[in-house]
Amino acid sequence: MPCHIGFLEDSGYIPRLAIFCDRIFRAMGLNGKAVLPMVLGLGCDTMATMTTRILGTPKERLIAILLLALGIPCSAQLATIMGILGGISFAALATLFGVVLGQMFLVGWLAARVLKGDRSEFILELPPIRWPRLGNLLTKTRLRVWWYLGEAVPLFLVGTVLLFVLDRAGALAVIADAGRPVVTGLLGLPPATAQILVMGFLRRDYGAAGLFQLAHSGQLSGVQAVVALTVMTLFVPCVANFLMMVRERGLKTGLAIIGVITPIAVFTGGALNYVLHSLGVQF
Amino acid sequence: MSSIPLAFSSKRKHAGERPRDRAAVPLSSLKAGYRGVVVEVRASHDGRADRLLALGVTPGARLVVLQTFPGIVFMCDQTELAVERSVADSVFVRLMTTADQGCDGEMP
Repeated sequence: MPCHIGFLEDSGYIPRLAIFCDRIFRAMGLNGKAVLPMVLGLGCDTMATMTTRILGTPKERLIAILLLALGIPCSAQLATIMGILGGISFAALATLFGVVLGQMFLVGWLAARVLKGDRSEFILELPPIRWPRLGNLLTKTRLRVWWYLGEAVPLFLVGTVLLFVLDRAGALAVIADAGRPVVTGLLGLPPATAQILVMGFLRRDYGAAGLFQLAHSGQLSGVQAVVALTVMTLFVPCVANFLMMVRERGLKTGLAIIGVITPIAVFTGGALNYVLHSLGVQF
Repeated sequence: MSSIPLAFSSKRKHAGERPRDRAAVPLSSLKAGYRGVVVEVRASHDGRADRLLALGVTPGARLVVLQTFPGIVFMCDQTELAVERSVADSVFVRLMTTADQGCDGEMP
């Protein structure tokens, strides 16, 4: 992933994408530069949260971090989404991305109006489009990977340890039990998904794998798969991402982001479940 | 200088005072392909002018407008820059006449 991003950067493509997206991002209180963290978020939201430092004002950084956590699926999630929904139908995939993108736009639009502060102006120097040099690309990739290993991996370890401790202490089961009525009632999902969603918060990729197993053993209908994946994509990402948010923006902001995103994810999932069922949609 | 009034896009109204150079027009009113010389970069707020100056958009710099949608992209001396419209509103340009453009061989 760092290699592909490096290729796009060195070719001069990303700044052009930034011009193209400037207008859309402006509606969300950002400017075109925010396209870089968003594209990186498709690889790993934790890493992308760090790159929001390139944005001009604290307000922009906060909105970008919020949108990354809310809507941008990381590569582990993308793989699950494609793996599960790709086998169901294109309409299922389109529904998920439509809902997630719509929700991101809505939340960004609201955040731009609710949060205090300013948007920075879009002034960007454009490098010429050229074929990247392999040597530069490799150096860049190596440095990025080292940086990533140093900054993000310890957070993943913390997440895994937390998962282990919670599991051993039986807290995981308690949380899953507490969430079960919401999961089965509001979201219309099988009870086993409750634990998967909780695990998905601690380690997004674990949750993804759990859901994958569930879908493969035929325990999820098409609608259930769409709802479960939508909730998971919207849900606050893994613990590593949360810790990174805390490091970038402080504990209060980190908790506030979780406090905002969790209800959004659950209610969007509930609404989607209701709408799909009322319309009698079968994927 | 009869070509200059044509450079105004008559639909757009630019609020605020007129630039010191009466013949200057805001960069945001130019169409793709227009060439000119920067005469003034108006400081509005929080260091916008500083950033533009740092990137070489200074009085005397020559520029060519490359595209105006979705963002305004222009070549300023040897630097290609993209700005949003509100920034382009604050850069005032004196257009080159056709004769000026003719002897401006080194501009890309």
